[in-house]
Amino acid sequence: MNKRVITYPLILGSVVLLSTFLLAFVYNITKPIIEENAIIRENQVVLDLFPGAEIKVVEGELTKDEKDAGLTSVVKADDNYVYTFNTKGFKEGFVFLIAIDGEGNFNAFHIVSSMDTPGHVDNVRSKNYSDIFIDKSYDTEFGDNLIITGSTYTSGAVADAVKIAGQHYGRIK
Amino acid sequence: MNKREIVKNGLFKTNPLFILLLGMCPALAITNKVDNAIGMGIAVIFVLVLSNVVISLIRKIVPSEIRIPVFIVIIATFVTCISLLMQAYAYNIFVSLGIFLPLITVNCIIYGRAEAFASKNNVLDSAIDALASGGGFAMAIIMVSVVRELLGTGHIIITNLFNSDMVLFSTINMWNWLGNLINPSNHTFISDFFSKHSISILVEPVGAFLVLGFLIAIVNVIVNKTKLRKESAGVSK
Repeated sequence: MNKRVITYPLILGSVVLLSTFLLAFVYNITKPIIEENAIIRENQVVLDLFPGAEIKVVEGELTKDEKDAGLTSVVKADDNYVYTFNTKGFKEGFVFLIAIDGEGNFNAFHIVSSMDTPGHVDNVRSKNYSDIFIDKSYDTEFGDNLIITGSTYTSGAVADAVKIAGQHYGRIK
Repeated sequence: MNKREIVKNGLFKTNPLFILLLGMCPALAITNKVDNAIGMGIAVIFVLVLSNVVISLIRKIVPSEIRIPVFIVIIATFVTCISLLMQAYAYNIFVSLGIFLPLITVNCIIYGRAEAFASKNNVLDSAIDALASGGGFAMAIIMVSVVRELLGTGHIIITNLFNSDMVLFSTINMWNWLGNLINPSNHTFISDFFSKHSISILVEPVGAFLVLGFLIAIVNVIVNKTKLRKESAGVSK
């Protein structure tokens, strides 16, 4: 009995330890490739929005509010600032892009992926919705105009992102 | 058991999908495209072979009381490895397989082979058994996906798993080539026929049940006929 108390956890612990080493090895090999591929895919979406644009990463630390709103990266495509958000609508994994042109007007909104109910996502994907902020200045106060009744979580995430993108642009311009 | 018998069992006699009806969940979910079936087949073979080999190697060290958690840790490790590798090198298949890739951890085929074979046999036999069972599963899901994609969409397009832009095989090209031989003035008539008469329900989840049901029925007819032939041959002797 006493022997089992020692040997069983020891065997199980050894298996877990070896598994951890193997996972760490594979993770370290694949991590840079996964990250590189993610950047390529992200840039591809930016190029779909602004064909032929030269893409540069905008350096600088993101503030806590920007990180909390799901802002993951800011790139400059020619004169346009493109903000990538990975945030939570109704569910995690709501990824979209908001762009502001060189004159400080919102000029693009593109949903990359979402786990939300398709109907709610369609509501914010519609041109009527993006027309509320497209061509408007980065410092416009939209208030509740960007909140859609019935799709509150999904549209709320976009409303927060529009505000944060505007604030970031105002900070770095 | 001799090696030929192990291969025969894994591929045909105890085919995991058609005979044992194991691994039904991914088989039904991801077989709407041949690409997905190939990706899932490779992932299952990878996990099955490595977990069988490791389990066979440590079978004399691991006491039977803790074998289940040990098997689960080993299988989950290899599943995570293949997930990371697919995410890095075959991203499109990784996205297409979605949740069914991590769910290989609880695939009955893998646990079944570990428990029933690898924990009782030597490394070589375990590796052969894993290759045969994994190959049998892969063959079965590819057969289901061929029927579903061809009849459901009117065409089959197989791309390079590592570069989805590279088309390796397309029935459209094949039909057009064949059509050109038969009727050069309207060489697209075969692909037009398949597109026009595609049965879109087959690429829906319900289509997976229908196709799998028909294929299992065909396999059962073949198995029963073979049995009868063997029995009658035995009687005549």
